Amino acid sequence: MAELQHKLEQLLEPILTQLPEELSQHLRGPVPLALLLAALLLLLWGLVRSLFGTKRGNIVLLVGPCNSGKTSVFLQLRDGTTHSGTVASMQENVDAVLLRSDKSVPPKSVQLVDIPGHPRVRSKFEQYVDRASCIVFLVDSVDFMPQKTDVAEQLYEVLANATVRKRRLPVLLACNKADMGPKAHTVEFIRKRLEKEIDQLRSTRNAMGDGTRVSSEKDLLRDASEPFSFDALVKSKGPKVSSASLSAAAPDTVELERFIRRHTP
Amino acid sequence: MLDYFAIFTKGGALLWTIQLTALRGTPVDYLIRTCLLEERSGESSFTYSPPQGAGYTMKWTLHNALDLVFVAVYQKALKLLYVEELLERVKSEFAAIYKPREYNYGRFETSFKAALAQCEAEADAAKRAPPQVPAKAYVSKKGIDRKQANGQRQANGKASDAGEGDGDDSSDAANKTTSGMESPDALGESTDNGGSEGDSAFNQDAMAKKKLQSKRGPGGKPPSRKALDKPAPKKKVAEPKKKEARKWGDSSDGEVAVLDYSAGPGENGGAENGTHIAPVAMNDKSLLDVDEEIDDDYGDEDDEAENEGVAANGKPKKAGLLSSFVRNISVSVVGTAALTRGDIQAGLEGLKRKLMERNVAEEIAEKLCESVATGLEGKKLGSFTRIGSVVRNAVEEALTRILTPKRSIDVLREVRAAQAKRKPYVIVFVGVNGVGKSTNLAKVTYWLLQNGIKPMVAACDTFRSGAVEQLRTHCTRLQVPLYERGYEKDPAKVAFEAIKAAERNGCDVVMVDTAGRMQDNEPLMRALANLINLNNPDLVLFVGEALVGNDAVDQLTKFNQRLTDLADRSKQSAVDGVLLTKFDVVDEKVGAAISMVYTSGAPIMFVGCGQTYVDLKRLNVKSVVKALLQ
Repeated sequence: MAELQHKLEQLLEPILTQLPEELSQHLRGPVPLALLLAALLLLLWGLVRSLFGTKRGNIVLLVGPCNSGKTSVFLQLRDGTTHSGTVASMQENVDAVLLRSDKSVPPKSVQLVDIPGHPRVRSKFEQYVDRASCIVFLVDSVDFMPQKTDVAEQLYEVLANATVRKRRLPVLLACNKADMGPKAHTVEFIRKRLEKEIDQLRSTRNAMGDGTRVSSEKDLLRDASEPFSFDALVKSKGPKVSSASLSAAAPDTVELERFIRRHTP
Repeated sequence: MLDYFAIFTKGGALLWTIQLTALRGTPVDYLIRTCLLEERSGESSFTYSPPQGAGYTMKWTLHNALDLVFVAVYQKALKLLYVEELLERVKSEFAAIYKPREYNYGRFETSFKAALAQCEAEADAAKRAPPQVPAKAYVSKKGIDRKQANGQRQANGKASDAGEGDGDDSSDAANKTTSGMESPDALGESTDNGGSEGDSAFNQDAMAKKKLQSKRGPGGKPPSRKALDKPAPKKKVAEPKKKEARKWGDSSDGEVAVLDYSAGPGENGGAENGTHIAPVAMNDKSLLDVDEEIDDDYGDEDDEAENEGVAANGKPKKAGLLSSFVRNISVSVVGTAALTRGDIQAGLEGLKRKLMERNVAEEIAEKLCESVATGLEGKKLGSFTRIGSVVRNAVEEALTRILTPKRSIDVLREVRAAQAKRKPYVIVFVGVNGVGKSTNLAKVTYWLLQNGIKPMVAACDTFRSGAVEQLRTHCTRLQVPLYERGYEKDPAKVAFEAIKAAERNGCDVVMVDTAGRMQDNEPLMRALANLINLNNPDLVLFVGEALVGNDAVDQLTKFNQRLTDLADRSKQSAVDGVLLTKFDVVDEKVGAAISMVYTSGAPIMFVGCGQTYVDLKRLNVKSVVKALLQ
């Protein structure tokens, strides 16, 4: 015991000498010394955590099905133009963008990641979700009906993701191509349809354990007592899903930028 | 001529395009989605058929250091020979002016047009000029002549010696050579023969001739000697192949397995006597619904594999130890040099071997590695990254991408949708003999039952004795209605009537069991196509066993091809999904999964992994990829 105390004293010598004489006298006992050491360690750990281990990441994820305009939105936010157009992405785009469409507030820089929508590369989402602060789920509001089940399925995957659930990452359901006028479905319509689709989906999905997911993650939509809705999801401690219309071509990204501003550090 | 040329980043932003004629449809998007993202970029060209009009052919090249893609689109009917040349030229020219985050390359048009004009002119010139191949051959022949003449001169003295040593036969040959020597013209002729002989080595006639020739020139003709040596090892290689094609052992294995299956459920004996078949207790959850903890840590194996990769790297480069060392440093430590084909090839070779050891069909492993190499060539590595691990990661990513289904594999949801429409959902099980179609049909039925769906089984295997009885046993145990019309009936009609009956009885799903058939059996394939044509099932499940190796590709390709050709379905491919059986017996040799998915493009919907009703699982992509690369 004495040996231990000696060691502790040696370890804390530089600190003790800095302190006033009477205080350091008080501290020279085994218990206070140990306490002091513990407090210091705790402080150090907190410092390290705040520096490296961010609880909530700082990147904004752009996800959604193919041809919903993710890359266009990405380019629009970054460069203020979509240049000469886009084709299907083969890999993700990562860059810092400046939110500047709202002139009343100073521009804000965020890290934006555009994840390809092709089913084969969608899994990249999992690589980035750990560092995400919010998720923008893009939907093509013109060509929505034919692909509504696939869209719902992908949205389900996002909402059921372990990290999204655990950290309750805010999700924006952004209905792109609002500039197409009457051809585009309204945001409310798309929201309602997706709720209905997900409601159907959850009954079948629960039966489809692929053996990879831990059961707690699947609870998301398991509570099938009432029809699924995004509002109910928030109540059951799920991620908050808000919605907005958007146009990468017009361009009209005000609502999108407001969402990102609100949810990035 | 050329219709469209596009340069874009891998991220999907178009940098520069030129449209030379009006384009129909979206060929470039199609190319990316169905070729470049499907690990088929190792192929040299791709065809796209727009909604109307003639098809397009596309060729492309990747610039991996800058993450650029160059695509040329032209009419399928045309055979443009200069496209590859053009792509390469444009690639190097564009790479020189490319700056990241710069999207305005309007000025590139002039240099593109110049390159195009030049390529076209060159192609034209090549076409107009007299075919160059014979000219070249002439030159080379001349070279051979000269060499051989030299050889002859040297051998001149030895010829007689050798002739004596070899006895009667060769003395004859020696005579011939000397007679050849008499007139220089004749000499030219004989050597000519010797030179060209190598090409037609397969020809029996040629072989005979060659024997003569070798006798004729014991000294002076190294080429003919070589030509003689060549066919011998080839023959040796061909022989084991022949043996492989005989598949007695394999098929009987399968039969045994089938016997095992039927014995499994009928444990309580006397099933055929119809005395008493106890219904199974539905307490056990199908393994599909049971969650499983899977450890994702790669642990030490990772390091081991990396080391292996590095070892494989070092092996082929024995020559120039210092230079290879310097190169290794510049590639992997400093990260300045771009990866060359050679660097990647070394690592890939090992991986390809490994994939083949894991039962991936050779053809598929080859294509996969080709595609990975195309995706890596020219890439620059960060500091302190090993080539081996980079290649490994690329392959791992590619495998994951292949196995990740691109269509929904949520059968239950589709069933529910059909339920809403008050229409039975029809699943047809097809496959070669003895892969476990009936057994797995029963497992899927069990799973559906557990999820509150009313299935019905249709016995459309009206061919194999005992097939109907086997299904009846399953149905009795599962307490599921069976629709059967005995043997010797047209299966297409049986299925049709079964669907009608299901509609009447309010069944949700009709499980159609078909007779096993080999992919080359034309009449049976026709019958199957007829069944599919008539009933238009919602899901055609190809049942394949995980034990199969190179044959997997052949089976699926032919099934798909025949069914697509014969059955008049609007779908692109006839097989909608794959059910992989006998997965429990292959351990880490899970390559069949890759082969099947790559060949058909259809996802693996279920995996059969045992003899009982609960032994049905979903494919776990991560663990399969892990097993493949372990």
